[in-house]
Amino acid sequence: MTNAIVTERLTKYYQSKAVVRDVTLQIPTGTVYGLLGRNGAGKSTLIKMLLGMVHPDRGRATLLGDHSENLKPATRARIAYLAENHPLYKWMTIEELIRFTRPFYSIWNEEFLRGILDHFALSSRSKIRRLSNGQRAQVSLAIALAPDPELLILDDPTLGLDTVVRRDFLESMVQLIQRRGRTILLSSHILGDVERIADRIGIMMDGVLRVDCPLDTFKQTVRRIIIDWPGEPVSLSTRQGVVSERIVGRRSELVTVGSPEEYAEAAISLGAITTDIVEMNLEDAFIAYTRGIPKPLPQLSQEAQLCSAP
Amino acid sequence: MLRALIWKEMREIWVIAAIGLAINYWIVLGAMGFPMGFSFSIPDSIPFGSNDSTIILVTMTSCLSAMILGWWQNYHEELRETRRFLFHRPINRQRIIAIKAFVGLSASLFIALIPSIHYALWAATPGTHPSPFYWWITKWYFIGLAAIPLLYLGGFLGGLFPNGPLNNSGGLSIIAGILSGLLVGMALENRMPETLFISIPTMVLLFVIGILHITKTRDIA
Repeated sequence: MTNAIVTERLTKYYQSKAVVRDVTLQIPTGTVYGLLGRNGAGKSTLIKMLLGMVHPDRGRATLLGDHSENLKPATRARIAYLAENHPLYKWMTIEELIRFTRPFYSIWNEEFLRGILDHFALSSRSKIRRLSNGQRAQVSLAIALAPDPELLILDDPTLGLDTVVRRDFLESMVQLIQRRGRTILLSSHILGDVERIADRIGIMMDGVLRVDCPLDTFKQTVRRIIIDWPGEPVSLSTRQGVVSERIVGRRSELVTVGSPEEYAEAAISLGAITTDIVEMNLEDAFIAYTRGIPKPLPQLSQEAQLCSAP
Repeated sequence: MLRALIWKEMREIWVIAAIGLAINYWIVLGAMGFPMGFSFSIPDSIPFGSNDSTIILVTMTSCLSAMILGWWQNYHEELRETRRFLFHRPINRQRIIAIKAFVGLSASLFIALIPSIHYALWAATPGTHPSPFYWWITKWYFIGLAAIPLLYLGGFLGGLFPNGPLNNSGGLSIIAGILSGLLVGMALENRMPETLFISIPTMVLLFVIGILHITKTRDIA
């Protein structure tokens, strides 16, 4: 299987701070990859480096086999990019934007584009500046899909949209972008969005790609263990793989990375009465995993091959 | 593709260009005796002569509008973040910048040349004014308009690199543009054409190198 995106130790410093550090990543063709991370985690910088808009201080990236710092126009034509906040020329009408963009592409599916505009009930005579954030996102999507791209890079496309608009936009997007062999890199801080469409995720924290594995693997790996103790709970927070611990009365709740049975057995051996292993949704798992804790986090990709390639 | 880019640039700069052209025409028409409400010309001055305030004002307006135009062409893309949209189009980035500069520079020269030529034709028409007129008098003025590309390119570079040198403002490029324009003015004042023929292409070349370098290396954050 070929890779649509490959990065090798991609690093970027602003001043002396590493905003992206040693990101090594391979996204196979046809994958829907969700790039997660809190604000300032380095997602947008990583995406801009992939698209040759930000120059890495170290490392390299290739997109569709072409070096990202020097993407050929022919390669760029095969890549759609929905930038954060959907920057479009506000003085243009939708029709003018289409007329401006179309000549750059040798492949342009006008019928599909008009279909998307119809679907979103957008008049091509509308001025971009009069559109809401959600409508601007819809126009961006329509324009991005018209050249029938092989690779879609979506940088937080639902940022700033209200819940209803976001849901509608996402559902339409899922229908529209799905095409055999099309690779999608979706960056978002809205976990529900990613959970619904991604088959592989990456989690960035402080510029480091901490997790890179199939979505299901992540959800299976990060588990909550509820432990009941006969008396004062014994703290297990110092154990390798415990990412958070909460103690309420005689009950403790651990969030662990790795085999939850091992932690449950350890708790029993320390005198726990009962243990219960609970599956978490992506949002809970993400929050537990990325919440700041005072000790170094285990890296999933290094944890006994918990996250292997799909 | 080329037409689309030219059309976009023209749409984005036409207001600045129209204001520059209108001010120049206001000055020139006033000098030509049209009732413009206010005339800047000194009575009995020779058109295109050393004491002709009309051409000085037209030069100043043209230089200022060229600098603003060059700066705005890039700065508004930065301000509105549209650079991320534009630079993802499948075309060489330097080509986009070259087309931008071509359109902006053409507009800047248009703003300066059209009223100036109109004014020169009026001055060359017998009976329109009491002073003598010879076409060679206009030579130094039109040579002096070579300062316009320098100021334009200074503004262009400043807009392209708005967090560049001089307190993260890109102001150094603009100052470089102004200084190079002043150098042209001084060379003209001292009638030093050989200085101009060497310095103008050199300065243009330096600005072009700067623009291409920034286009290639600057991060679009």
